[in-house]
Amino acid sequence: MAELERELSGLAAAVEFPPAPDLAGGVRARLGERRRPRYRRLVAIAVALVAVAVGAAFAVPDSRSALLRFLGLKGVTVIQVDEVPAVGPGPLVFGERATLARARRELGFKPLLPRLGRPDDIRIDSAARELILLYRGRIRMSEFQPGGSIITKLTKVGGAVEPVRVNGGHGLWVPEGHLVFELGRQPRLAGNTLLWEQAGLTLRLEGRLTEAQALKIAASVR
Amino acid sequence: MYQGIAFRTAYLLAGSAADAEEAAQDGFVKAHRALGRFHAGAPFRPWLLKIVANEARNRRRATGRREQLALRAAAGAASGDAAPSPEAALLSAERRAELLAVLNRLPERDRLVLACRYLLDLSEEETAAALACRRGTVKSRLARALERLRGDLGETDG
Repeated sequence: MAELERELSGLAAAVEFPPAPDLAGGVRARLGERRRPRYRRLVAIAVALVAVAVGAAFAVPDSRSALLRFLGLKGVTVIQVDEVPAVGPGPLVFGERATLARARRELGFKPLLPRLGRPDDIRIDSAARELILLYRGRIRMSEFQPGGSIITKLTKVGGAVEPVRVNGGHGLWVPEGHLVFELGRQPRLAGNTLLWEQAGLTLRLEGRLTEAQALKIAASVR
Repeated sequence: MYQGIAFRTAYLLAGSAADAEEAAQDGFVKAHRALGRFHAGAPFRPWLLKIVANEARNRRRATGRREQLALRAAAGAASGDAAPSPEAALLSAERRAELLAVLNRLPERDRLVLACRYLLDLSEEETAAALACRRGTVKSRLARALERLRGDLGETDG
């Protein structure tokens, strides 16, 4: 018995399965084409995230956690839960090194920049259609057009998620220790994050920043 | 990522790559809509696989055809993407071909439970979700399927 089972397991690597197509693109496109009330769309996006982005290694731990509250911006959903599943911090930098000119060409929008001097690193993640800028080794700004990247954040109920206004647009301040799912990436523990909408883009500033520092940097973004 | 396992599960059940792709994609989209019914405490993968597998089965009923599982062209030799596992290295090419041929000829129910557990490496819970049955049923089907496979291979021990 055991021998035959071992042989079957050994067979697995030799069996030809057709290569898996990129499902995330199609799923994203279909979510984008849906016209639904905002609340339902947020729910949809949240699951897209959980479904597509959650790495195989990650399982929502056994808890009685329930989804309790949704807050959102375009392309971002914040869900407050009883218990945030335990994950570690993950990489903050994705995609290919690029220049701002190339980012503008490939992403189809004009990058917005904070007054923090030259970025240490400029990346474009073509799959997520997202621009990622790193400053001073500890501040990360990323931007995308709604319909591109899809982000879900899980925070603990009672965690101080705070609606803010940034440059005339809606924003959310989400303190560190929340879990972030991004399409196609490993879930990770995120740091203090300011999210806001500006000039048709959704922007995200994350790093070792207080809320006041983050708001100040955000106010400089043009 | 869940995409790979969702697609392969769908392929197994639907029997064609095109149907599997549609099924997996529809499954993901349906999963999005069903978030309200997903309990955050429950393991995610079986839940997703259940939805995808259901889509795949529906497609298969509609088309009624199925491609047989085949060996990779260069299986065993230098398979490009990964070094063969120790288990794989123990299997001769002839033995692999024989196993797969017999597996392909098994009744659907036996073939699927074996493929889910051993070829896709799904857990019992995930297999139950994919095959829309209970865990206990997976166990008993698996035992029967292994017995039948062994019988068809003409073995008395093992």
